[in-house]
Amino acid sequence: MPVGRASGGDEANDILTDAANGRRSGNYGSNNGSLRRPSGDYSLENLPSGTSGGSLGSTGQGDPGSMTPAERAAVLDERLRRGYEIFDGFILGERERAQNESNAAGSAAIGGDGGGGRSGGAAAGQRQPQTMEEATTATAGAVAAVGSPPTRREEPLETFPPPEDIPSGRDDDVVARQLREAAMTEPDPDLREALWEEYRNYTGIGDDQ
Amino acid sequence: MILQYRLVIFSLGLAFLFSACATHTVKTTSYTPVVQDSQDVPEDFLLDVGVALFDPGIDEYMGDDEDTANPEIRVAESRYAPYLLAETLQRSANWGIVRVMPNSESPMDVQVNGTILRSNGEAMIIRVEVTDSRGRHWYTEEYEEVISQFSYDPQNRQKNDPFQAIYNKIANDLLAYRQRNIEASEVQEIRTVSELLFAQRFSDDAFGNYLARDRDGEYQLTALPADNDPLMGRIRSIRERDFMFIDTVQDYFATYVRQMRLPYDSWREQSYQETITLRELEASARRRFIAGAAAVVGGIAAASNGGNWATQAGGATAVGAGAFLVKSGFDKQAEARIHMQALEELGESLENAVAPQVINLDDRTITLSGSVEEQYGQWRDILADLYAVEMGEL
Repeated sequence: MPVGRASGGDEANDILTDAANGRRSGNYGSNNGSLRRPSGDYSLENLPSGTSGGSLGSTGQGDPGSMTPAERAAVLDERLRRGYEIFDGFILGERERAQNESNAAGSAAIGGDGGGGRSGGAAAGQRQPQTMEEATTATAGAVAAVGSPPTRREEPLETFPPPEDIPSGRDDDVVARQLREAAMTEPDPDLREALWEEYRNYTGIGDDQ
Repeated sequence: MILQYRLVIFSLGLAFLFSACATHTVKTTSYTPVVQDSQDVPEDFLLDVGVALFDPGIDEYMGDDEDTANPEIRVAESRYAPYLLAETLQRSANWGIVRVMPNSESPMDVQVNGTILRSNGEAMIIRVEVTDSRGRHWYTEEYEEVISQFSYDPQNRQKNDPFQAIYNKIANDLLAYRQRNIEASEVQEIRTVSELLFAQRFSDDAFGNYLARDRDGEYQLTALPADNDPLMGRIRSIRERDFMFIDTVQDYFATYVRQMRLPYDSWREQSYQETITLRELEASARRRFIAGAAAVVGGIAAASNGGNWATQAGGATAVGAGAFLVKSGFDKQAEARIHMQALEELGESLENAVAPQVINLDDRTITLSGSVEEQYGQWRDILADLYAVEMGEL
């Protein structure tokens, strides 16, 4: 069923369109300079007067009766904008705290064999699918703009799964274990296969078949 | 006479056979990798996925003899497993943003709900239900994974969760369903419905008429806001901040998963060993009871009905062997009880380690949600005023 679009209204206020086109999370860099280091009490209970809701005329910014609709909308938009700033400061402060705690909890990052990143056809830093760990790191970059740099973690050596005929290796001796480890970390597929062949010969895999 | 001899031999043979049996559990070490969509999908056609906290499945758990975890551990797992699933889906690169949802307030394009039906270190069963923002039910499926000791190998563990394959299977099925059943035009529709549901949350007056429910209860688009609708522009700004809030909660979950991982893994591996040993002991005890009872009955029959001293003596021997088997069955049962106690102690130990973290995670999430919701309430008021201004009512 074709669905018709409603007729357009006034042009959106430019201060409110900052995030409209960048809906992917992690894009916090364009919020009107609100990524400053949070200082003081940013709890939402302590919003400055004028950022909260309430009737239009309650902020002392003019008598609503004498304002045009555009002026009234501008006052309300200003309230929204200030609310965004408070919110952004609050959330980014909380994120910084949470990420510091996460780093302190140890680099027990859970690996995986996902399909890897997708590239192309997307805005930089936005559309590339990322793991939560990567997302955390990316956001730490945004947080770094307001404060301390994120803690860098050591990258684990990339490993490759053993071929199907290789057993778990729980009974391996020192030499076999070294061969296994070398094979699992060898990036060159030919060399890797040669190491596995050496492992097979050493451990006698296939001799009894 | 021949029959009686046979009875004695059969009884003794049965006793020997049953007591000599041993179970060997053979498990596959095959691993299901995550499938990546072969087509490079533009971002506008990627669906965002929300993974709800899993149902710990306490009701099902209470009736499952194979599940030796404490209910509190199940609750902890119900916050651990969805994070791993969300991470797997995100890593698959087949979706937009994938997040564990702090609550049900923020509509996502695709919603994944899960129930843990079993988790004991050796086996995991998860029931998964998937719906989209229109309210359309995609599917409900149960996933089971029984792992081998190999999965706890330190090298494997460094790369993956021992039960990573179950999350990969769920991710692959989700992709397969989308590829088979969801057209590109539907993707746009689902995304628009998500946005409008979010908009309705903030201004039902302005956006309430864009959606209607059909006879199946699914949302249908009745109209679309204008591209330059100023109120929708504001809603999008707010939604961006809602994603920031959800991302903050992901950080809470990341901390929680990191804190839980070591004690949880340790528990799962030990629980795995204890569960295997316990099952073998119980089976062994059961076999010994059956064989012992059969030997005793056969032996008594031979001894009482035997026509000569040989069959009577053979019957008596069978009774003795049967009694010995029954006694050894009791011994195995006692040994099994020790392992059951060990499992309970392991569970209590993990519970003590993770329960405070679960409480901390829940507290922080609820507190942040409350603060955010308070701000949202204020924005709702402002948006209502703005809508009234634009309608010429203020």
